[in-house]
Amino acid sequence: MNARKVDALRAQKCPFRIADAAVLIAIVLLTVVLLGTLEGEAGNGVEIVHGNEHIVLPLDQNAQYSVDGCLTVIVRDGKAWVQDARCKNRICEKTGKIGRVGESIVCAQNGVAITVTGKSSLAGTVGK
Amino acid sequence: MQTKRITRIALFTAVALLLHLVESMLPPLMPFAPGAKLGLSNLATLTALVLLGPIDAFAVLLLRCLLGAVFGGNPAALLYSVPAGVLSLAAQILLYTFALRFVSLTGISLLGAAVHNVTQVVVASLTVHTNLAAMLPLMLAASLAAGLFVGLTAWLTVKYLPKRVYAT
Repeated sequence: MNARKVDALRAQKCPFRIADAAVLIAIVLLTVVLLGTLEGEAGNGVEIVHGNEHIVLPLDQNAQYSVDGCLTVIVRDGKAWVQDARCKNRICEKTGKIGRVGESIVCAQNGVAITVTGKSSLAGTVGK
Repeated sequence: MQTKRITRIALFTAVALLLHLVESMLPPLMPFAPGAKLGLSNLATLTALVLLGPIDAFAVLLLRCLLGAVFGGNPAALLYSVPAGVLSLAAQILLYTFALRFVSLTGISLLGAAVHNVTQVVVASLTVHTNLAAMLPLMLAASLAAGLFVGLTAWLTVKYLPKRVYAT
């Protein structure tokens, strides 16, 4: 034990000192930067869930999948989007193209969820 | 002198272990980061670092990890708690020894919490052979809350702990 240091600590009136800000800012910056890289990661698959139906399409192959009765998912050039929504609002069509990990298109009316998955499904599901 | 030293290490270890066990009974306090805890036992480690010194703080830390795994009934927890704890304490000792003029216990604790959580994510990634980098921002955000809380508590503890507990 260093008695001088302890006494100095006990005499402190404020629980913060100037370099605390540096530590704080470093951690916040690192968090924000990492969040950025996380969202920027291109996905490699698109997962379509509709009731009991559960299908994963690879994003690197062009494909077309129609979810019966309500919409069609188009996969082209690493992006996925919805066409031919047979409903009034067509929110899913308006969502546009998705291709980054975690992005999704949801059709609330018919209960369809389309989500981009990453290389490791484990990492992609963290935090949900 | 030796007897006093051993007794103090035992006392701080008991406090650390108690905090560790109580914490494991609490519901998750940070729902956005699954598995993240406040790390209350770092309160005892950090206080031990200030009041007993670096070597004794390491003793408190390692004893707490060992006993925590024994009492928690999960020896595999050692795999996570020991590397994270050792690196985190090492970082805290560096700051405490060389930069105490500029940082407070709160800053030291913040760094310790961040190092601890990053190490745990790395160890977890190595254990399950999966890149868990997606967890890092969540764990860092959790370490902000945990580090702040533990740091402020440690500051108050050091400030108001009666002198006879740690001085001869």
